[in-house]
Amino acid sequence: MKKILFLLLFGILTLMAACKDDDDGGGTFNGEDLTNIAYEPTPHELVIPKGLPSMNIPADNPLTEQGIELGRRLFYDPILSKDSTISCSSCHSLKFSFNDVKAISPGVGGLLGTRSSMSLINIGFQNNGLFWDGRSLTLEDQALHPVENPVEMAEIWDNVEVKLQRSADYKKRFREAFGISNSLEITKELAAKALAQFERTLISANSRYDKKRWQLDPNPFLLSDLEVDGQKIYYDDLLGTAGAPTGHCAHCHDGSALYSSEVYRNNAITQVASLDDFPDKGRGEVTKLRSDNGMFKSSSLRNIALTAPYMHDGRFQTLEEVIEHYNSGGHYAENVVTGSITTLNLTDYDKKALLAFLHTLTDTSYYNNPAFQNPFK
Amino acid sequence: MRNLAFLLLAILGFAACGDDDAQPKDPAATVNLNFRALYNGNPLVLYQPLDYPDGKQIRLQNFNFFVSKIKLLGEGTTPDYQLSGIEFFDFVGNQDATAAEKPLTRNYEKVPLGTYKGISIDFGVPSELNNANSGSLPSDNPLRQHFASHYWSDWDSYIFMKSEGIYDSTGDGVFNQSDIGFEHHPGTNEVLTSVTLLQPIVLTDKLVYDLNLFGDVYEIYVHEGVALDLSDPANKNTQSLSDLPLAKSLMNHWLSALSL
Ligand code: HEC
Ligand code: HEC
Repeated sequence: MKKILFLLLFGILTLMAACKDDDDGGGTFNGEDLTNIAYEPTPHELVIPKGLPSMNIPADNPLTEQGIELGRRLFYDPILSKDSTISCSSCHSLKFSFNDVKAISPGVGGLLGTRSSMSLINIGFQNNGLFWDGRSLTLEDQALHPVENPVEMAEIWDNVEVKLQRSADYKKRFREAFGISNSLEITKELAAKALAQFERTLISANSRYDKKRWQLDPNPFLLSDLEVDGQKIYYDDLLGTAGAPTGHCAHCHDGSALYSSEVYRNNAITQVASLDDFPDKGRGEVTKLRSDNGMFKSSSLRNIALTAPYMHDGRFQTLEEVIEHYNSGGHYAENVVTGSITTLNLTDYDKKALLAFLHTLTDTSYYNNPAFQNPFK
Repeated sequence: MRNLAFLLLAILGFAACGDDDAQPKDPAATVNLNFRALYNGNPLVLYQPLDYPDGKQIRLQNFNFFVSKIKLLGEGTTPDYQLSGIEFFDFVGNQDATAAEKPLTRNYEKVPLGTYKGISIDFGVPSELNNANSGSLPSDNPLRQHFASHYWSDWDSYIFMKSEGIYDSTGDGVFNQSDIGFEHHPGTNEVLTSVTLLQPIVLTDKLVYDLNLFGDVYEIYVHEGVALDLSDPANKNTQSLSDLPLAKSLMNHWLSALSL
């Protein structure tokens, strides 16, 4: 309640501020005509690398160079937050594959949420829900959330719109990207569209394993023996051979070059007395199905070596800990698929091999890509 | 008032004419394909104990599959008619008795009239579509929609069916970590199974025909009185490349598991 009152007060104050501004101009502010700025959007052709599926691009938000560049600027601009301290990149930093290295990422004023940040990588290919619980269905919708989340950017969109409408640079860029004719036509929906366009370009398919798997590099020794053994554990290649190690990882982390099967599962990290007792119900909160409580998205393992700590709450510090968890079988609950989440009996060598394989999913060209970097630096 | 009535009539007449001109309607029927999942004749409810023939119980958590080339089989002058090239049925919603009564439905309009002698339906993904390229199909295609969850890159094949659950191997009436979880994921071209069911289907103009299909999971696991031994660890996980015979037999059991 207090929070709402505060937000209301804040809203009124900023509205008053906005009004005062209008008065200076004399009478009602009718925005600024932008039609003198050329609107000639350049279509952006996406190149989809081998191993990745088609990308669903909404008909009303085609990719353009201008839209993508605007999206990149918005992504890196703290103007989206209440006190200009937090941008999307604060929690989604390129050098960590657009993740961060914190269990929980602080928002405005250092406030903490309850979940760990997620990598933004091949995000445009996802079609089974965004966030750990899948509650948002499109990038356009998702991009609206962080701004008004009190533990993230703690701002309200009305204010952001006013800030953008006043910026000479953004006025020009929104015109160039979306053909608006007046500065007052800068809306949160257009900002979200631009952010989504930028996010759809965040494509990665150049890890060492990609190079081997899709024969991008003829070198037969791309992966060491240890790594190949890990690959076999990951994909259950030796299933059916008595005593051979299997990890069942690909049942939830395949999707070809996505390394995410985009399923919601309980991977048995939380011990609960019953399905009603998960501290974070995850997917169950969204679907309202009791059996979905404690389920989270089987996120992509691409660039996973860069994004510790792990899981929706950042509980595991290292990949070694993650592997130990899966090897133990974790904590049984009714909705754990114990066909694959079960005691694995991996030897020390097997664990080393699996770890080595996970490292082959790192794409260094991704975080060195100049097109993804901060445009303000 | 008279004027208004006249205007209305005029508009109606106009609309009707326009419609007729644009598209003379061929006589056709609509077929609703209603798929229900059963366990031993009763609606399948996930997360509920189900009796297994060895006196123990199982519980299912996930049951879904691809079907393809769903055809009405023509007779006499009526040629075969393909209702759909590919569909995905996921019974994840069968979580209580009421939900389990409701079928998963697909509607096919403009089906040519005639007398059909039955249907044929393939369980699995046709070989020409069973590869990574299907991930590039348009976003409303089931093969694109379920690419991430069902395309298994190491085999270059889709997983045709996912049946996942737990077997109360200790027989204590409680499901827990000491029991055997199973995860049956058959795929690859070798396990594609064609099922034909004969029953006259007469389609007349404007008819909405309910084609009711029943898939009984029990029949997949218990074939001709012999139940798959779920206590055997070798039967716990099934993937075709490593465990082709078992994968094949589970898929083949659709021959008896499907009924009209
Ligand atoms: C304070 C940290 C923080 C900020 C700022 C932030 N995010 Fe996030 N982001 C997160 C967290 C935490 C999650 C997971 C939240 C959840 O599951 O509830 C997330 C999830 C996402 C996802 C979903 C990824 C997936 O795989 O499902 C996208 C996309 C995303 N953020 C984009 C953005 C954009 C765009 C912005 C700026 C407008 C932004 N984020 C700002 C922390 C942040
Ligand atoms: C039954 C499905 C399932 C299987 C099998 C599975 N995982 Fe996961 N995995 C998940 C889910 C769901 C999450 C997210 C859980 C959460 O955050 O609460 C996850 C998260 C992870 C993460 C952390 C991701 C991140 O961004 O923090 C890693 C690393 C991981 N899994 C590795 C593996 C490895 C290695 C294996 C094989 C030994 C494996 N997984 C098997 C479902 C699975």
